[in-house]
Amino acid sequence: MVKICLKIFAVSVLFLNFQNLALAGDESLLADLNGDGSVSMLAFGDSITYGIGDIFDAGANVETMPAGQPPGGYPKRIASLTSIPVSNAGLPGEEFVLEGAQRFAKVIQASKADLVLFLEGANDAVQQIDPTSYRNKLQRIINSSQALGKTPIILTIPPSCCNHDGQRLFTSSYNQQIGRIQSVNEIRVADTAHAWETTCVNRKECELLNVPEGLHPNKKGYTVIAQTVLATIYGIDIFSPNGASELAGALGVDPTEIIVKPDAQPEGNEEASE
Amino acid sequence: MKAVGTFFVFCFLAFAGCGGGGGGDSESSGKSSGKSASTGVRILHAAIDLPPVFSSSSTSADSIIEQVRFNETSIYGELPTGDQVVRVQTLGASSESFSFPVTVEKGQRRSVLIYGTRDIFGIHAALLEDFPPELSSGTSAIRIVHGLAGAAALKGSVGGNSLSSPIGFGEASNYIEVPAGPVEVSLARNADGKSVLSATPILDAGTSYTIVITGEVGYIIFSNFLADG
Repeated sequence: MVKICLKIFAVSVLFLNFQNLALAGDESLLADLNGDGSVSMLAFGDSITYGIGDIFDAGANVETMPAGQPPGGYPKRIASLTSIPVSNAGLPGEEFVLEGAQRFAKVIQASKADLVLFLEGANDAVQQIDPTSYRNKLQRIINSSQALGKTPIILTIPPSCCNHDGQRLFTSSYNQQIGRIQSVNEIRVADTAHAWETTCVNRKECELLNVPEGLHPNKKGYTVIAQTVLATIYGIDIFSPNGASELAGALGVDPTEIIVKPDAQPEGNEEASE
Repeated sequence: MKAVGTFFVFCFLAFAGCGGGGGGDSESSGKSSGKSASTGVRILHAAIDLPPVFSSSSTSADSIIEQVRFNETSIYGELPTGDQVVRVQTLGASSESFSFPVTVEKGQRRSVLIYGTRDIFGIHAALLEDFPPELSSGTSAIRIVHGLAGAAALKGSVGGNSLSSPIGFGEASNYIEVPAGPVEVSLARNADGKSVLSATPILDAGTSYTIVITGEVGYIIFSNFLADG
């Protein structure tokens, strides 16, 4: 059963990656798309958007998340790297299908953001919410965003591990739905699940997560998410051999600061890709 | 499901679709920038959780009308005269599909309204006849197309004249002739009087219009204003 699940996950990752490759070379979305004279972003989601766990370094032993953490996570990093305001609308503990989809309507209508970054579903996986319901609600928020003149970018859900390993099957199913949604809506997807696949050294206890808690990324994990999202915004295939250097160039940082790893190259191609 | 604030977004359009919102330029990301045909069918996409849809005719594999996403309206795609089946379906593997056998006559225009939700109401389609009336000098006409989920029927008034009867979900009112210029349009859910639209569009003399109401009560409500000719 586990092998089947892993195969399904691997196929979904390949599918999503293929979609991203098709987008490479597109123009950056960092523009005043709604014509209001400014550029801004809205990050909507649950605790992973809020930035829970963004106080621990990789390698720390974290059993549970302490209360009272300040917002941070990938939105804060994107704002810092681009100098563009990113409103953090992450609500810890929120389920998307039953709660977040409805909250989204209120948040999006009050927002002047040009780009809407969406990452939610980890808590739905705990409740084993039907992936079809997830897809329908996701389509609803994409439709609502576009009808309001905003450009949605959907993030795949990072795979959990350890104490939260049991919900991995459902988050994988939700990520497959994101791939299907992307193909019919021609939207960009920031494939953070793929980034986990390429960047985690220890797949079973990924060092991008707080371990053994296993659900919330640590400082390094949030940096990986931010870099994956930024590459998507700039239209850069972060998983290509030159993805890291292209993103570093776009951000004006040293290439060694890009920690998202590219896809493994077939044997014999490593030299050609340099 | 708890309700959140209802919001109105009003788009004023001339034959084309509404891709933007909130009063900005009505830039359309759909393929609705071409020229409307004098004989044909257009698509009104009002289903808030449905992917983009496209339409075709049985008369030719090339008779793709247009692809539109939620809250957009295609131009009138040209159809040959005669008997045929117009088909509208969603993009993607798990697609909904609707077919309408029609006899197309020269100068005849129709709209296909896609409405409903996948979870509660189901997705439906309605074929509407677009017959703007002959207008007297100095007058315009408006009709309402109801694609708003969460309201079994709408009531209201146009230019101070109450609608003769509530408009059912997935239905259109008759065209109502009014003096050209600014006209107050007010619509509410028939069951409880909850307002869903209050606007004062400015109408050109000699032109008829359709207002398409989309979205869902308690979620987001959009109103698209189309010049029918």
